[in-house]
Amino acid sequence: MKLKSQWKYVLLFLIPLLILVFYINNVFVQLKHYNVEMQLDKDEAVVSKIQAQTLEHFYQSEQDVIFIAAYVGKNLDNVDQSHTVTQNIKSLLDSLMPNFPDVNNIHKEISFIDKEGKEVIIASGHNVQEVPPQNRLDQDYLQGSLRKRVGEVYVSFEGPMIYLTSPIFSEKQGYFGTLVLTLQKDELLKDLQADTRDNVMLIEDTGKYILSPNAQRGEDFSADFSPEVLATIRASQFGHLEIGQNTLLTYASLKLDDHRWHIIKQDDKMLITAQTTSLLRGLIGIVALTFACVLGLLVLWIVFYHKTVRTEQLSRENSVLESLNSELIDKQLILEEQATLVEELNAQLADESTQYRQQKDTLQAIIDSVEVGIVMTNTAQKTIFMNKAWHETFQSTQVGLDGRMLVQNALEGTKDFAKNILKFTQLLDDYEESAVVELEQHAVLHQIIHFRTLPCRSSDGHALGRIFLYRDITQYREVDRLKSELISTVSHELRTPMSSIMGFAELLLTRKLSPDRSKQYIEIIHTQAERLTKLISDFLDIQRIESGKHEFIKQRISFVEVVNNTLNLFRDTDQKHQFSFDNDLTKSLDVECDTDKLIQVMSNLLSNAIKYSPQGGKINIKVESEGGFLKVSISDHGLGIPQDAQAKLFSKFFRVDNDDRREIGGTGLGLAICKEIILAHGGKIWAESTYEQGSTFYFTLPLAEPIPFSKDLKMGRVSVEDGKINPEILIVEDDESLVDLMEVVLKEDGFSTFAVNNADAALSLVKEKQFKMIILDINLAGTLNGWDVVKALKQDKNTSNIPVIISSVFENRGKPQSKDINEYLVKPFKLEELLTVVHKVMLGNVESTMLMQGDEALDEYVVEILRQHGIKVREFKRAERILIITLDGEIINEL
Amino acid sequence: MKKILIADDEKSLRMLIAGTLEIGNFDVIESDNGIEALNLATTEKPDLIILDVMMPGLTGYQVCQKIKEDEQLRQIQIIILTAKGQQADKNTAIEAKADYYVAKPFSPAYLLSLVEEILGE
Repeated sequence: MKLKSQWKYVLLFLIPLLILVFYINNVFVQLKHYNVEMQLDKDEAVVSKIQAQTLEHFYQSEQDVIFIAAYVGKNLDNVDQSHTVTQNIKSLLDSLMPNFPDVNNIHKEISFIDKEGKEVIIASGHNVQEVPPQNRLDQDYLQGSLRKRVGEVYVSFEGPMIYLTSPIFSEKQGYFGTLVLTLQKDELLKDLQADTRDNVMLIEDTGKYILSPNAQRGEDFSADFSPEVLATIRASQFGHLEIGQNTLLTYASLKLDDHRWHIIKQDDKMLITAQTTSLLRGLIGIVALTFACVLGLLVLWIVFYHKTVRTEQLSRENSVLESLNSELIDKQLILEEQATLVEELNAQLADESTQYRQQKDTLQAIIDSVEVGIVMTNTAQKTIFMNKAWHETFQSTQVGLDGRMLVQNALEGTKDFAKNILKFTQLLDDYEESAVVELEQHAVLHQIIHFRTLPCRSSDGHALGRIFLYRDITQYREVDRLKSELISTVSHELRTPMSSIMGFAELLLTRKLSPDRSKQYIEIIHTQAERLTKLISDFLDIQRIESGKHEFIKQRISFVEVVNNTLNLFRDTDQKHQFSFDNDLTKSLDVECDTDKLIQVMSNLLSNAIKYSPQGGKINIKVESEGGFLKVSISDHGLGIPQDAQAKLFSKFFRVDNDDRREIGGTGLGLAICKEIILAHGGKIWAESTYEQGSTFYFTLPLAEPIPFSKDLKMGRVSVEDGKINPEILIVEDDESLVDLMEVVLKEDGFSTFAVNNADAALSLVKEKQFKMIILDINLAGTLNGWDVVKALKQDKNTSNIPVIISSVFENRGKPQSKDINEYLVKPFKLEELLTVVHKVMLGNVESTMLMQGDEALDEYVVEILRQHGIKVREFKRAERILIITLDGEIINEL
Repeated sequence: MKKILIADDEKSLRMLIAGTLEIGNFDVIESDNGIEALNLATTEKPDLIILDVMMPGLTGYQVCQKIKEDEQLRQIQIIILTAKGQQADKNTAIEAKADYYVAKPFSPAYLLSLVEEILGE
């Protein structure tokens, strides 16, 4: 619910106002009730009087009587003296009585007893009567002690009656008589009951005689009050007394009939306190609520009055603000424009800063990439710039180094050290001169150095400092040296054969020579010319490879082929040398290479082996696979290489200079060429040798990645000797290099072969062509293995008779199908072994072991059958029910 | 008859020099290495030695130097014969106290005339 704001304030005022009205009402009611109690606390005298009101009737009567008596006595002198005293008193009483309502009561009676003691006037209610003389009672009717008290003021309790006596005296005439007030005690009590509350009691001084509205006469309540309380009450006429926590006694004491009497009112103090507290609380509430109302009013005033004021003020301020605002917007626009400008400038600056940094980095990178050490000193001769090369060469601090230290570091231990230091130090503050020095052997760095300094000036010619350049020229010197050495070597190598050629040619031209001598000379010229040609071509070769100009035509080839091709070149070698070739046939030995160049390497190494084993001997070529590399070694049992020469073996024009090989020719380039070719193929080449015992040259080549399996059937290739159409042997093998090798060997032996690399191709081929034998690998590409092929072959009548030779790396000859196979070759097998097996199978004669199950009766029968088939038995053995027959492997030709 | 020692590791060159000198009246002995050449110089006492520079064992310069340092042998005339045709090699030859210097390839006729001149024939 939403109220208008001013209504909220009205509510704020109204609610406390309503509460205030309620409170005020409540408090007034309370005040009405407790004003007595209020006064009780305020004025002890008044309180006491009020508290004693229970006796008021009694007292009042007494006092009234005394007053009346006094009044009457006083006025008796002034009244008409012609009347009798009795008449005068009666008229006085007539006029007085209405004024004394307490006395003028039906329960009370005032009598006038004259000097003689006769009751002459009786006043009851408003009625004042003169008692006729005959009815006048004698004062003796006053009983007891009262009789004696006529003539004095006295109160007497006589039975149920209370008598008050008060004498009337006139100043002139003296005693006239006594006024006697008679009242009934019960009546008094009734009055008490009517006018006081329950807790008012009248007790005797002894505390025993109690007159209480609720108590019987004579009941003893003294136990209710302690002696201390009673003593206190007795001690004074009026007072308060607290008993315990909650009880407050208010008392008044008086003397009646020779007894002291105490009227005691008993109050509950808590009640009074509570009432007072609630009254106080009410008053506080009133104050608070009044304050709240005032506040509410104030707020209302503020809200309603000030609002209008504020509104006006606000509208005034608003217009001021609006104008300010528009001004601000204008300024903001200007500021925004400026900000944009600043941003643009900033961006431009950032760009430029980036560019500057990039340029600086680029320049630093360029200067750092130079291998020349560069350092710059400023005009204070301190280092201000240093490039990476200098920093790394001299381990100097980047900047701040003193120029002298710089020069000393750079020239330390060089020739003419002191002189040069002086020279360069003097130049530190010279911005005109340049200086260069080339020094042998820096002491620390062991370099030949080129040290240079030049002045640095800004474009306007201002001196900036000095630049020092340091260059290690050891390598250049070395290159120079090697270059001149090479030239001298080449010139020597060229001049030597040239000398022979020219010399002999001159002799032939200028001399008359015998035909034999001429021929000898021409042969020498020819040989030397050949030598020269070889030298030139080798030299050109190595130059081309070294300079990277030779393009290697690489193709995948089995290294076995490279070896075979190389060996073909050496077919006509003298009988002194025998070649042997070991190769690891279990692995693919394919390499990616330039075949011609590898053949060149192989033939260089082989011809070296032949040349340097002049006594002949075995030359072994070994090819193996080692950690993804092909490792080839060529060993000879020749002269060997002296230890000191081994390091230079692959250098250009290096030849071992020794008596034992004086006559062995060579350009000194062969091994250098080998090295370059092998390096170009990603391999390594080295030699191991024992002098006078022989050498082994090794090289490695990275093996080609295995060819991924292809699902396509490989079209078999027929390799047939001229004239032979039907292939005789089917090779089922997925190792291409092994196939190549087997084909070479079998062809040489006069067999024709056909090779496939998977089982499916093999099985379809055996149906088309008639093979005399199958050489079968077990692990084949594709889903079927060798054993599956055997099974399929044996199930078909047309193929079941084809002999099968298993060629496998597994040595599990005991396969159940073993009766279906003729031979088992475990890879790697020797080529001779292959040929032996093939020959045996081709001749239909197999050396093998047969197992037969049966008892001894079978033996003779088996022997007879074998004999009939011309099969010779080498051994007969029996193990329980198994007959083991080992066949001899020879055909018995007679049959 | 004057005795000439030819020391060269190249057989064809020895043959060439021998062939060149055969028309003169000389007693020619050959050696294919420096050490042997020095021994022959001592034992055979040749009148002239034609020394190749690049030889196994001892170089021509070394052989030359040793001969020239030897009181007994220093009268032997020495021709240094080398393929190295550079000034530095000539200087080395002079330092080794060689008497003559012939660069390869040489003309047999020139060599013959030089030998004849040295040996005074």
